[in-house]
Amino acid sequence: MLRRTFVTLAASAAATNANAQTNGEWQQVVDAAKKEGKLVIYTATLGSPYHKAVVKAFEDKYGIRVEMLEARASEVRERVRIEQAAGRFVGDLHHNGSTTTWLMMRDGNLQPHGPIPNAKNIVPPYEADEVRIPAEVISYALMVNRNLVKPNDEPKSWKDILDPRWTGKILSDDYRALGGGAVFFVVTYDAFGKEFHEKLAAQKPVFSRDIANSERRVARGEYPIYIPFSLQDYNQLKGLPIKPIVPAEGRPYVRFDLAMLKEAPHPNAARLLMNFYLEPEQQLVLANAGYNPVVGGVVEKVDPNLRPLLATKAMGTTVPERQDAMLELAKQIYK
Amino acid sequence: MTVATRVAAGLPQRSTAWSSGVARYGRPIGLAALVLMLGFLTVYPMAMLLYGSLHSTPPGIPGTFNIDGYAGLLTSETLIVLANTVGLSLIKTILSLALAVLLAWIIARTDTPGRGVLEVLITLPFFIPPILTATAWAMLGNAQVGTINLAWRWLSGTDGTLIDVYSYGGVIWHMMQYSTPFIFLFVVDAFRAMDPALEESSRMSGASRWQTFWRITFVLMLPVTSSAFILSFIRGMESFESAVFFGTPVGINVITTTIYNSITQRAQPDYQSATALGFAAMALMFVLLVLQSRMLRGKNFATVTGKGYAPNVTRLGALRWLTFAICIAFFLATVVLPIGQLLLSSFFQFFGFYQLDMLTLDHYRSVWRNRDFWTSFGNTLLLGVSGATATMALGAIVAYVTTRTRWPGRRLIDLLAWLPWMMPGMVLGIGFLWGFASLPHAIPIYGTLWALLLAYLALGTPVAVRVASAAYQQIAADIEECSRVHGAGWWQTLWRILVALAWPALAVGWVLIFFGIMRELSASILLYAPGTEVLSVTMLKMWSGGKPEEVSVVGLLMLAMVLLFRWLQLRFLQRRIRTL
Amino acid sequence: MPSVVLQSVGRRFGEVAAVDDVDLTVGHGEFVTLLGPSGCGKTTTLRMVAGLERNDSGHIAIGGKVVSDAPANLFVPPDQRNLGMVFQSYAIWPHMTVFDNVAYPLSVRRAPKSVIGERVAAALRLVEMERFADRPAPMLSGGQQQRVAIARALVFEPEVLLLDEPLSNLDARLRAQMGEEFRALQRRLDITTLYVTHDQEEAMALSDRVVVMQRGRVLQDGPPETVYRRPASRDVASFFGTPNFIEASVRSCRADGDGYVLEIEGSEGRGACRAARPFEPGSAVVVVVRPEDVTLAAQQAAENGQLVWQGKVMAATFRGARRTLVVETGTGKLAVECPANRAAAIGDGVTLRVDAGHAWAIAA
Repeated sequence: MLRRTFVTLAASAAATNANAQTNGEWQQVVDAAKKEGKLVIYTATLGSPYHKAVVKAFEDKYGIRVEMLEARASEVRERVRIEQAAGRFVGDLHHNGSTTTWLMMRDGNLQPHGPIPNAKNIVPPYEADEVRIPAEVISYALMVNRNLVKPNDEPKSWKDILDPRWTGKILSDDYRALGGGAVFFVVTYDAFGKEFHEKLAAQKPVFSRDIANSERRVARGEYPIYIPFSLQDYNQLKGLPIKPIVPAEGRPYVRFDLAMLKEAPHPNAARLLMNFYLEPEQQLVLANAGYNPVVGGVVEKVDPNLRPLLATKAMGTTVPERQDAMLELAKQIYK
Repeated sequence: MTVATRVAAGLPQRSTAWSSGVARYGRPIGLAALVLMLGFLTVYPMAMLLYGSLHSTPPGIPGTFNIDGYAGLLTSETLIVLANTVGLSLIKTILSLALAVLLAWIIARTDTPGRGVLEVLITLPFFIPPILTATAWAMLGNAQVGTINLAWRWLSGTDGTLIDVYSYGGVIWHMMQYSTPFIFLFVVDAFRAMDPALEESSRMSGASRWQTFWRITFVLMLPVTSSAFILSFIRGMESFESAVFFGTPVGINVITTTIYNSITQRAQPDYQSATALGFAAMALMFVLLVLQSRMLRGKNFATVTGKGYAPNVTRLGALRWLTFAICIAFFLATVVLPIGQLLLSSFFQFFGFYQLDMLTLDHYRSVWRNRDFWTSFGNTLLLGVSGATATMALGAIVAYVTTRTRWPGRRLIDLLAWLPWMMPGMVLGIGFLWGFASLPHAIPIYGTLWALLLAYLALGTPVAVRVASAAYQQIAADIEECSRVHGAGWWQTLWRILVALAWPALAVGWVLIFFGIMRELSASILLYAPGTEVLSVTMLKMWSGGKPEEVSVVGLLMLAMVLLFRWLQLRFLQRRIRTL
Repeated sequence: MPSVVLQSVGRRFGEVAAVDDVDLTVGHGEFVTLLGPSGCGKTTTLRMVAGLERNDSGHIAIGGKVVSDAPANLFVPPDQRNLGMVFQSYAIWPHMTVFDNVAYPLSVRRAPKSVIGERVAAALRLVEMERFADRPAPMLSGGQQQRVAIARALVFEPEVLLLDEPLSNLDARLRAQMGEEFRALQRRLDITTLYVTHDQEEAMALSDRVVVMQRGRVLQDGPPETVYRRPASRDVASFFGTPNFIEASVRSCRADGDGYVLEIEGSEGRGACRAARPFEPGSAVVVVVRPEDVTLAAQQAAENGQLVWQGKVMAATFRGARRTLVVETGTGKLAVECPANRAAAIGDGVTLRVDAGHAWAIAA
């Protein structure tokens, strides 16, 4: 798809301009995008300053104004759906978790984005297709309260949380609802089987859905362990007596995708921002926030505090097609 | 004779042709306009929801009509959820009503010291965003390291647990912090406006103070207390935050959390069952309304009469220190404890970590510099002031039509104005989204501030109508008729007599609605567009962005506004009382 | 030109006819009182004139203009009828001062400020309340509130002044005083007045004409003295005081002046009385005799045409200037009122006499 054949990872940041200049076709996209002058992005990342920073850099670089409509995953989807059904095509770009993106692709709310030069930088297990490109990855770890869990007692494996000493002491995101808990459930179910979850259920984990508050409850010592801990929250908790741990088996993760909305009024600007998200510089911004980058050569440059956590094995992710069945299964196991 | 001539000299007559035309056609036209407007605000979004509940897919997607949504409700699980919802709401409403009526009586009809200040203080909890008090109570009352339990263990020397907010009791207590001030605000002016002769004659008939309270005061206050009860009970059934914070973790599910689950917690949002559950809840609430109107039918509750009276308070003697203590205790438990926690925390880097090296003003600075915050604050102020004013105006008119006229169709209008209150907010928000987005593109509502304003208007109307009709019901009919006979049209009479007499209550309604708008999230997040962000959306962004401390800074700012509003309002009220 | 005309006006509340086919005319400057027991429809009639209640039948005209015509579905709302009204409760607006209350009828008609000031002052002077102009309305006594209500009703030259039991909330002395003052004021201003009361003495003292109502219908309409002296029915007669009703039969009847003179025969002999209409000889009548028209006589001799009874005093009630006796006669117990110091003692035998001019026959 792409005519350019080289660009080393180290050089790619500096080479973006050269890249565009030598590619006449892409230059046309850039020009058209600038002419459009505006872009509307619907995003499910509520209140994330890091995404704002990426968007700001984009605005500064291209002079294209970006309007962000932030809401929760299902709200974003429903707004897009009803707007399109009513013939109101106002949004250009859609930024949401992979499950919702998959559903919207299935329902025909999205359209192919066309060639994206930076898509070639994407590294497995993350991949782009004609409609979606991965933007960033949320990785899930364990979190312990340092005052309550001595270094020797820290879980090394996901299976260590089955130790009887943690019975009734695990605070957890709900596995029976869409979100981090469900991702954790699907991935560990696939990896360790039903038995693991039956034993975990016997540990009587306490479920909560208010992630931000749950993390603080653990920090305050209500519970010693919180699962699954989204690594991008780590920065905001600096200074609290907590410690994230990526167990030996690796980290479950969930991808956030960018996709172009059907009949987007500013398709070129949308495409330009998709490409921009995959720039190593921007991926580094997100990686320093605790998201796993989707292009190569970025993890190595991440802040040393976070680097060991991000440079871990990707354990697996959720499968949209099976999502509802798995939620049902979780309901049966965790009554 | 000279005096008489001067009095009786002719004044210019109004042209009667025009005004009799208005009299003839103005009423049907006005009525039709009112019905159309309320229909658009309430029936239209409801119709969209009804379609959603009867159709396998939401509007705009091909599907089939079926009753799966309702059939799916016939499970024992749903029954438990319904029982939980009604039970929780009933208990909290009864407790709140008892407490609120007691407080209202203390403030309005006794000589308890410091009533003026107490009146403002005990209403404060209502205006604190629930998410903040929930956070504060989670810190105060969790079973493991909650401040109250730690204090208890230190005092008692045991390692027992005094309270655990993650329980039925916790859910009820958290709801009560909102419903008690709500009911109080609703009833206090009715207590104040009551003709003391009605109570005095009971005392003269040999009834004790206690008997007088229950048999005269309480019964006369029935329209307003039962209105407040119903409003609060329904609101309790629709309450979300308390249940999701303190109930869900221990498996207590209510209607709203179940709806929330079916919309947001599944891969494929199930709008059909969510809306069906919404309508089931609505049917339940409708029964309540019918009961209330049965109860009040054909009784006269006019306590403000044309005879005039001087407001009078009961002298309690030494007992007044007890009533004072009750108010202070309520204030301590519902305001000082949680707000103190928030205020203290807002100066530390993290909630609940009171270490000297974490002292900071960063949260204030960060809110101050947050451009999104100021944009949304401006939008919300605009929407709040215009929305609350428009809603109270509409409510004052609707209440007039439903309580003081015998126009045909007034029951329909009353029902229309009730509808939005009976549908849980998160479902109704979807109805507004579907409704406004499906309008012809030439009508510039969707994606503009109008969408938010109209949604707020619909959501606030039930409170406005209740507040206004409760106030009107206490004004004797001849006060109004006298104005008509002396040349004022019904419009002039409405504004110069009824509204002028009822305005202290209407002002309270305004404040309730204003802060309702400031807090409204369910509809706002589905209707705002880039550029029309509102405060609740910004606060949600802060919250999910991991900045609860900034949310509490905003919450404290809102509290400061409440204090200002209430202070202004009571100042004007005081002036009016002095003239009475 | 009559100021108020009601023609076959009726009003039903569900099954009950509160007002039934009422005809009434009030002339310019006339003071007409609607009198009757509570629930007789007098207040409803007044409210229909005010436009506070809609009549279901008939029509109403004020000042020559039809304001309500039920068959034509025409209804002029109260504010366009040019009326002044005093309510039983006074309906003083508690959120306004005395001045604002009185100024209201002018200010809702957008009168200029200067005119309002002048008129309100004049109206308050009329009721001697000018000193209280700035007083908040609720800080007034009952009598003062009443004066304010009257000033308010008069301040805008009303076509008609309506009063709904305005004195019933006052104590007896104040009631008499206010009534006289008001009547004087009404005469001075020559203002058409429709007044509702259940108090017969008030009605007779104030009115040019009294309209007696019962069960929604007009029983009689005439000057106070006529209604008192020449009641049309037993109901009307018994509404004023406690008259004696004596059954008798007609022997002969002849026209005389504006009425008829009847020769009647009762259980205790014969006599004459007057009537409004002719009666067939032999028909039964009831003769109304007011207690104050009965004279106590020592001797039996009856003068020409006088009605005479023999009896014994059974009871006596002292009423200050007068004394009421109950005398047992062959016709039954008769009430007699006489000067207190010239009354017979209990147990005395007495002769009762009534002039033909004071005995009034109505159909039995």
